[in-house]
Amino acid sequence: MISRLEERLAPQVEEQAAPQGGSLRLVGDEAVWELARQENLEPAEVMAQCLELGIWPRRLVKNRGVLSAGDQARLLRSRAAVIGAGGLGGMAILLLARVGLGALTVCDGDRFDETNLNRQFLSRTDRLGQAKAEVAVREVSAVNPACRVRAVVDWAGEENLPAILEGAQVALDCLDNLAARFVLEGACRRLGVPYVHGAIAGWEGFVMTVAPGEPGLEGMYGPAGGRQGPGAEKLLGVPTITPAICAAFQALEAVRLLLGKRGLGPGRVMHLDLEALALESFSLA
Amino acid sequence: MAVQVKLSASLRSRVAGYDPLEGLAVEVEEPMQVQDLLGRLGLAPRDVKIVMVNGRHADLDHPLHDGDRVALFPAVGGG
Repeated sequence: MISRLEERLAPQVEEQAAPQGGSLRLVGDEAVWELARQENLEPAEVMAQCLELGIWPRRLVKNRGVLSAGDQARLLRSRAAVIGAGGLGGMAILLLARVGLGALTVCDGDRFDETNLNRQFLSRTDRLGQAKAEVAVREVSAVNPACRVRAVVDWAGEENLPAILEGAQVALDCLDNLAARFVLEGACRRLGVPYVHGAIAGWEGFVMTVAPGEPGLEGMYGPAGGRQGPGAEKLLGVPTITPAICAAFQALEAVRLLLGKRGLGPGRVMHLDLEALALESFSLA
Repeated sequence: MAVQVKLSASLRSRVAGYDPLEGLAVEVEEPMQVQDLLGRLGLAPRDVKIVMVNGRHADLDHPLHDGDRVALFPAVGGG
């Protein structure tokens, strides 16, 4: 299969000098989609097979240097589930689409309103009233049509989370309330899906990666179902810059998890403080 | 003795004159525990979700010593 692919691609592969010597072989969208049609494969899978031959899709070649061809192929064969498509989720979705994930699941039961416009990267004046998860599908398809997106226009809960997390190697907690976050964590633990928690209030953000069996939200907030007063965001708001940076770290952790690289580590919380211009991590253990 | 206190998010506005860049040096007398420090600062224990002392997770009865660095975090759940 792979050698046949190489043969078919050959006329459309461009060779350039690689920065570190030798040559770099590139293939464009047109050839990828044409092959996908001929071979009845997903474009993301064609790209992954190209990468196995050392041929980079042009749309991803600028990742080369921090991602090996093997890393990129692995991302193209990965699915992340982003739960919440608001301030954190909107940015995380866009980053994961651009980094070249092969598949995303986006879950959000909400629709855009005017108070979302300050920070939710998928919201626009002309999209008010539209379902966030459906907007995510259109936006990702426009950014990276090789990324297959499944939209769930519903609130994540005990009953639907098994279906929502189906096929995902990582989940991103981009929710906006602690109760829902605990429900997601419980489902991730039961289903064996690692997840990346992100939360913000004012100029501060927190990121934590939780693999099944590792300490999680309880270390930060006390036991689930324990008396959670309102979070600090009720007082400090959810401003423009903070979710972008917090979500970027969540996307980074998700990519590192998918690639089997070391991330923050068990029980470690990253604390982002944009008021003190400080980034620190600490252990809950 | 003195401890160096850093407050996070909504706890900052609860302590008059708190400077996010500098933190706050608090003069205290030994023996003192984290919960006593909260009392001195006028913070309720239920409003503090995470306590770190010198970069390590600590409980409310953790004893404090001269020069300790204490960081206090509230619940944060926004997205």
